[in-house]
Amino acid sequence: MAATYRLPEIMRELGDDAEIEALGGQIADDLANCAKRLRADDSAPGKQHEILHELRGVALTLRAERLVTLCREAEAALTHAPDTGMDDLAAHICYLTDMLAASVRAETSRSRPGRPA
Amino acid sequence: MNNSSPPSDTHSLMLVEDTPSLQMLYRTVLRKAGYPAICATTAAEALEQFEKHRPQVVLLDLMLPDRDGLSVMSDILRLEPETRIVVITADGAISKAVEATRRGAHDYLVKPLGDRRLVSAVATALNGARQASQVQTRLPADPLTLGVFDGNSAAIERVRAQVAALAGSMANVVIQGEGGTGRCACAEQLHSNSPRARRPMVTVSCAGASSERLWIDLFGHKTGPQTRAALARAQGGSLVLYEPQDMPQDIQTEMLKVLSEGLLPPGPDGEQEVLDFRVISVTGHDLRSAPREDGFNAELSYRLAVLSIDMPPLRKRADDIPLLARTYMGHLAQQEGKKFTQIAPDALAALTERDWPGNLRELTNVLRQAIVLHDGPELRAEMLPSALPGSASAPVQAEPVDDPLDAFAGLTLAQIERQVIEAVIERHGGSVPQAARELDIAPSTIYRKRDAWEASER
Repeated sequence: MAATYRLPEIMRELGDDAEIEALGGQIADDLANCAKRLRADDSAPGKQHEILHELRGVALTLRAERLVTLCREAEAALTHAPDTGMDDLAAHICYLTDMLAASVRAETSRSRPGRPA
Repeated sequence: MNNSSPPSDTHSLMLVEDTPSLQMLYRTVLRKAGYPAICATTAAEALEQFEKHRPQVVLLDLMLPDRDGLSVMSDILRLEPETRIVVITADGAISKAVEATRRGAHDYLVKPLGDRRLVSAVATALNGARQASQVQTRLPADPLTLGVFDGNSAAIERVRAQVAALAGSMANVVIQGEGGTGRCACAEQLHSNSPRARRPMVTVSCAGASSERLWIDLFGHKTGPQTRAALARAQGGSLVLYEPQDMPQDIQTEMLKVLSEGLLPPGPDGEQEVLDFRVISVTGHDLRSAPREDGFNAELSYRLAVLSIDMPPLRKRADDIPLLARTYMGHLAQQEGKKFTQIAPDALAALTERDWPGNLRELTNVLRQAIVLHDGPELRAEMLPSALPGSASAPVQAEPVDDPLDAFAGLTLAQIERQVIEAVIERHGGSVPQAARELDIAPSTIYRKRDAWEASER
């Protein structure tokens, strides 16, 4: 399943490919980093909360609604019932996040089809 | 070179955001719009950069890795009370943004930040800051200040008359009232209608400041130049003290000495300037009450509260709410880039019925929330936050079904399963884990099914 998202408005307006690639690369790096930390820190609810909040901020910017919803659910679960249902949810979030990171990186890469390398 | 020379104006904007990609995006948007920003990723870095550059406007993410954004905001406002802080928060954390505005934030932005809204918020804040620093008649950008004196209620007419009568006086004034009633706007009105209007209006918050910090803010360093001390900067104009009853004892003593002697504290060369400012105190307490039980110096309270104005709470001027709501709606809609031109009668009724414990500040927050989350042109009761009485939409009653299985007639088993799962998720307010518990399946099963449903719809 492809992740549904939209690049931020400013990225669609930028004429400089290098700048687009830099921004896209940073977004992808942040997403991948969140997924990595979420996998590593799954035993620390406080840390998970922080990571999910950060991830939700990036997902919101990309209008990645599905990921935003999942992050919200996971944050709520951590708040109200820290021991329930997080493992499945976290795994699903990490999976979606990695896919989103890959999609953004591919879309903003200068070597993507249709753009000069 | 003098180390304490005023900071350069080349960096009038600071962006504090810890997520690198978001910082990069916001910075790009702002740069393209002609607002270059210095950046910080942690609270510590933000305070260091602030001390160094003293930007007029700070865009501040409320969730930082090393400290809570609200406490960083308080520190910045203590260092420079006239800084315009625009807080950034994720959706679902509106209450934190509201708390920030109560504590002095100029504006708030909710992620995802639209480019236009981001630039507009920064432009408004910078314009307001520049007008203030040019010592012109102040035109505050805070929507709350726009309508404070609008209305025909007896309560606000009395305040208008008091402001008109007291503005020309040189005597110190205390403005008392609940939070959010427009006390700061009243202070600005007093200043801008006074003979001192073209001279500085310098504000200092005494609440929560350490004695050492407040001393430096008010009187300056004992050994350094006094040019950035509030008392020196207020010369010829007005000194506005927020919550003066919170001053530590040593500050009270020094302030009383300054006011009694009519001389500013001596500079490093021993010279003392004659005091030439009017003190306007803004407080939620009754400074005139005696004997004082809060430890506030009674003599100082008499010096500060020569004249007084009581700002009425919104519930005491309910007749003004329709006019105020329209004023704020127009302004907020413009700020948010939305088109709202009228308020429906049911919304006006809901707004008028409320007690408004947070007063005008709460009213503007409620209207902003409705405007941000909905589209106009008419603001209706159901757009108002559900906590408002009379605005909660009534639950939709399902059509009565004689045989529950009739509802599934003609559907496949897969379609029935989808309907049931979606209904249970909805009953749990969108929570998949809770729905999964009720259905006794793993949450991942629901997510997999959802993915399959979405895929089949493409």
